[in-house]
Amino acid sequence: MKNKAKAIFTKRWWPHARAALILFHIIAITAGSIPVLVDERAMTKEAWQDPVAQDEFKKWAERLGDDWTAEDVESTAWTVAKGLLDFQSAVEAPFEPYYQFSGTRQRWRMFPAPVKNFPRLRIDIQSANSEWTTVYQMGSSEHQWLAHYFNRDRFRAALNLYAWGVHEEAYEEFTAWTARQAAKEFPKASKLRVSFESIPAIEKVDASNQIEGRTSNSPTELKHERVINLAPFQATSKVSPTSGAPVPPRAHCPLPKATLSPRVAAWPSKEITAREGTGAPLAIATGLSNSSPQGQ
Amino acid sequence: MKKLWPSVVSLSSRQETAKPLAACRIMAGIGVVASVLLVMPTGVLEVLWTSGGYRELGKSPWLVSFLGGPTAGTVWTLAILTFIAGCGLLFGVFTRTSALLSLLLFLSLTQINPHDGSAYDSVLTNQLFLLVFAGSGATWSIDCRRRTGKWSSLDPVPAWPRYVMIFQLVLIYFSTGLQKISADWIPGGDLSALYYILQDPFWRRFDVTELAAQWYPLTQFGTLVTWLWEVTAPLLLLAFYFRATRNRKGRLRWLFNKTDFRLWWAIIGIAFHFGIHLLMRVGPFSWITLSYYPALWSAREWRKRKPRKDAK
Repeated sequence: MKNKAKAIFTKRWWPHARAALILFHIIAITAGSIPVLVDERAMTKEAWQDPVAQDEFKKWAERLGDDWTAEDVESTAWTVAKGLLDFQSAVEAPFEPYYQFSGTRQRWRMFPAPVKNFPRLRIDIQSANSEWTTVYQMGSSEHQWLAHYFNRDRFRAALNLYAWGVHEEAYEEFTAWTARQAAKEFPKASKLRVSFESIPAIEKVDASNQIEGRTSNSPTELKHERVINLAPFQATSKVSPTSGAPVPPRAHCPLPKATLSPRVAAWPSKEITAREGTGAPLAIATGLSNSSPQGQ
Repeated sequence: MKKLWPSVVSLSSRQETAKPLAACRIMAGIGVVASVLLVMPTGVLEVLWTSGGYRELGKSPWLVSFLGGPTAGTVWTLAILTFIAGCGLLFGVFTRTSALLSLLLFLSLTQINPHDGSAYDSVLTNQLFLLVFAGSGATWSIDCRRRTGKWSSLDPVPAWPRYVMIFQLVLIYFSTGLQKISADWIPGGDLSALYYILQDPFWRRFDVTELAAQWYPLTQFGTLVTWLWEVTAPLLLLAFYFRATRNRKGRLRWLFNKTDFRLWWAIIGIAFHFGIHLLMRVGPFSWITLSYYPALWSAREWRKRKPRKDAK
């Protein structure tokens, strides 16, 4: 009797149940793949004011003809982007637990729009005689301190987010962590500066095949600059049990506590000076925050 | 719907030999192993994924919490286990279990710090999920050797995981193509997207800026081909439909079947991923995406393409 029931299930019901389950999976992954103009982090008017985003609106207005202005394009794009985002959120919401537990999340925003001002991580230390020395520069073969971490694609994915002003709290934590490493590695250094250089792209070649635009001497702007006093990190004798790094004494932090995690907020006073650069959220506006195979 | 449903049931009940799925499994296994090896030797996994790392981590995945939170011990244990499970998948040892463990462990590790997530994580976990259900260990595996005494076998396995892999591949390319909305990507403008992307110090492997400037028209061609190839990815599904209905009439069907459309599509895809890997530092993204490609042909089609030894 038991074998008969099993045979009926296997022959009659299982093919239908299997087809239904496969169909469910296909519907779920299709729902998760609905394309959007920008992701949820970029749906802010501020992000859309970024020069690169504005440049896109101008280019599209030129393409669409005399009836369109950049403002018209921006306004229409805003409506479409919001509509698509709302639609995508609503459609994929029922499948959220499925994505979470089966690993079938579908977000395929890869290089949706190229940037023309590239961020590049740079770390400098200040010696006792107040001279600044670069110890790390992304892409440099000369300044390689902590490159074995920062050159890993996973670390670069995180740094890419911070370069565009996404997750500022995590960026503060990153700079403080870097200070701890510097305190160990450079015991005579007085300060550490973490920043992202903004490098303009080289524009295209001219008619005579010569490169126009940036030269190697072009000035670069520093964004998201943080200058950290290393003394409190060097003074401590406590060592973290997990990372082996010195643990600074606890005190208040001059940065607004609301934006900091308890871990950063509890660190020494006057150790971090935040000089917010013009960290343009262009990447967010154009979707670059998820712009690469790294960005999810 | 009454007519369509039996077709869906019939399609999902098909069986075939497991060689394409086994090839996908082997490549995915290498992908798992490579992904873990990239973070293990330098100790970057402790900086990224432990509570003693560079940032305060949020809520841990359930497996990490169950094991006591993201401590160095837990993360190293998970990474080593992921490596072992990846090897199990690669060599086909307890293949389904290895696929399931690879999925669970890899998901647990990569969900610890969402900031360092990569698109290849999702490409890989989607593949692993299908491999849990696919009979990919039926051939070219230690499981096969233990079961049959040979390294390969013609035992039939369900074909639907291969079909879903093809659909997944189309979704990835089509979705990413539709989201390339910049005026620099879409035909009719400068087609300068690749030119700028190749300059980005975050992702470029070498500084090819000057070379790209001198070969600017080539980067424009690359931009055009990339965009067109991605947004027309659903044509691949049409090609499968045309092959399945090859006895019907139609010029387009004839054209698609005359030269195997999939072959040309795959050649462009392989060139595209080779270019990405050569010029950009995006981890094992290209390899992991290419791990879907063996699914484009059934084992029978593979055999047809293979030149016979006795052919003169």
